[in-house]
Amino acid sequence: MRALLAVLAIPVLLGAADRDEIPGGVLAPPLQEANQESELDRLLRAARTGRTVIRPQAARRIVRLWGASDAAGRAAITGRLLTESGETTASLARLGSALVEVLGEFADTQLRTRLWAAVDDAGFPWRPYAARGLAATAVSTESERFARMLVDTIAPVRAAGVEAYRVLDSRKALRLLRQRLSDPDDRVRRVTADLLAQWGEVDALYWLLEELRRQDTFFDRPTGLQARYQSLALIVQHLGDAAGYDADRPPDSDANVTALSVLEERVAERAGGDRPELPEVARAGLPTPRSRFGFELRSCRLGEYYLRWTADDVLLVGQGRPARVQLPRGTVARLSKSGAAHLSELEDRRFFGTPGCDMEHFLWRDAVGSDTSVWIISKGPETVENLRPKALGEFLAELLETLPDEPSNFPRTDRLRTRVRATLAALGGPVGE
Amino acid sequence: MIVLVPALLLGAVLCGGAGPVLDDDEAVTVEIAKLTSIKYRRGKALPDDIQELDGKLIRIEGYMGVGTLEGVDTFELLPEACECARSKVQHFIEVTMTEGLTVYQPGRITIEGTLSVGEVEEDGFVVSLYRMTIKSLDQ
Repeated sequence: MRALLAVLAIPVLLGAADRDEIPGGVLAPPLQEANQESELDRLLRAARTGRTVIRPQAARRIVRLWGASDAAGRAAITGRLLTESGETTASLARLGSALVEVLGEFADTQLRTRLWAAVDDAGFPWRPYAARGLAATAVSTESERFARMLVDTIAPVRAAGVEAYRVLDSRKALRLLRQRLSDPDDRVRRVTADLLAQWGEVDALYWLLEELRRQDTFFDRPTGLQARYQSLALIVQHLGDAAGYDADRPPDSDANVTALSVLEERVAERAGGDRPELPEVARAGLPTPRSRFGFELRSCRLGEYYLRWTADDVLLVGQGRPARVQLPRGTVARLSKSGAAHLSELEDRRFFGTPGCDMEHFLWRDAVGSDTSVWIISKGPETVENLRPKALGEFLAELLETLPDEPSNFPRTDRLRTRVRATLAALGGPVGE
Repeated sequence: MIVLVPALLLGAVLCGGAGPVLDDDEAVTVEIAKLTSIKYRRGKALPDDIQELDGKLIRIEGYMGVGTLEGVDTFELLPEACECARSKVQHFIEVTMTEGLTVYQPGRITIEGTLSVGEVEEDGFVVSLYRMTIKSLDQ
């Protein structure tokens, strides 16, 4: 019987338009319900615990299954999701990120309320997913809440806020959206520029053009190159072609300089007026080859930090065009000596913990220009005791002391030490306490 | 009318059917950002410049997926060393080694081998878009 049900489930899985038909007959309602439930079980399992790559696909299929169902079938699916998501954000988190991201698509008030509760809960591990799910199905009565998303502490949530206004097609938030062109995160700036250009605010394309000049790296990672590819894809959508620009080539190569000037002319023609002065944070970053050591933190709840200390005693905060903090002379030499001693205690171990969305990466060069060594601490949303090795914790405590902690109008450096300390505590555990 | 799409056939068509064929001894350097920046939609043709890489000997830099098992012959190569890049099928390359076994390396690595491009499905899910066959990690 189970085998038969599995076979009968295939048409539903494939999203057949005429879902009641099967080869050789028509599904009787009771069998269809049982069949649907078994398929739902399979998809729920795949969306929660399948290979990472299939989870979003399985979640998306549940949406399609719901869309292809009659009223009773839809109610059954929604009811199941309500049961599985539970009453609290903690139980909702157990659904996993892929399911959380699609919950807004079942047109259910209770599920939507739970998603908003998740976005409002700073400890919810899948806030970006909940935010994206809400944004994709945004309704105008939630406009104020999406406006709050635009100033969230986590960049992917801010980006979701921008996308919500695309769905709403609401220019009411134009002023707030234009502020996001100064966002410290390039992903948020890009999605904002793309939306504004779509709305006819053509000058926003200058932000995307500027990204084509990026040559920055974060240690070995070619962040500028990645940005060039992503911006170019958007520019082609708006301008029709790349005018010969090649993201693989350095921006200052002859061919790309020529292509950039053609693209600039086209934007100027459409936008009229002078080229706007871009905020410092949005200007193209250049290579920073003198980094000695640093770390990047990625927390699913507290956001991301990218910090580097250079041989000439400068602290660089952020990617792209980082904020620069001049440190007292000799700071990096002192930290280098201490760091080398601490890291040698780790011997050959390079990875601590289990794969998850919370990560600390420590990056180290024995000398400027030498290969980068990396140590990674990783975990899921749950707290893990004694995750970070003592030696790394001690070195981190010294690094923390060099971070500025004053309130600032610049988001990247505003109370930086306090914010980084809190993020470290949520990742590998408290530092320097 | 129900149409059962033979998924592997679609993958085979996009892969060029007969599998990777080396037509050049010189490895082409490919940026992983080029592969991962595409706008992918299931069943839609990939950009020409990506399809042209199918069967080519390439050299590429990236990061081993965090949590790569040691002592096995496959791993995922990603543009960033985080969990954030593995849920989209166009965001990683599934790498298979013909001789060596995996030893997790947390930093950026360079590998050289034959790239295969096209959808591969399992149980109706697309599980990879890019695959690469290399000799070993220390080739």
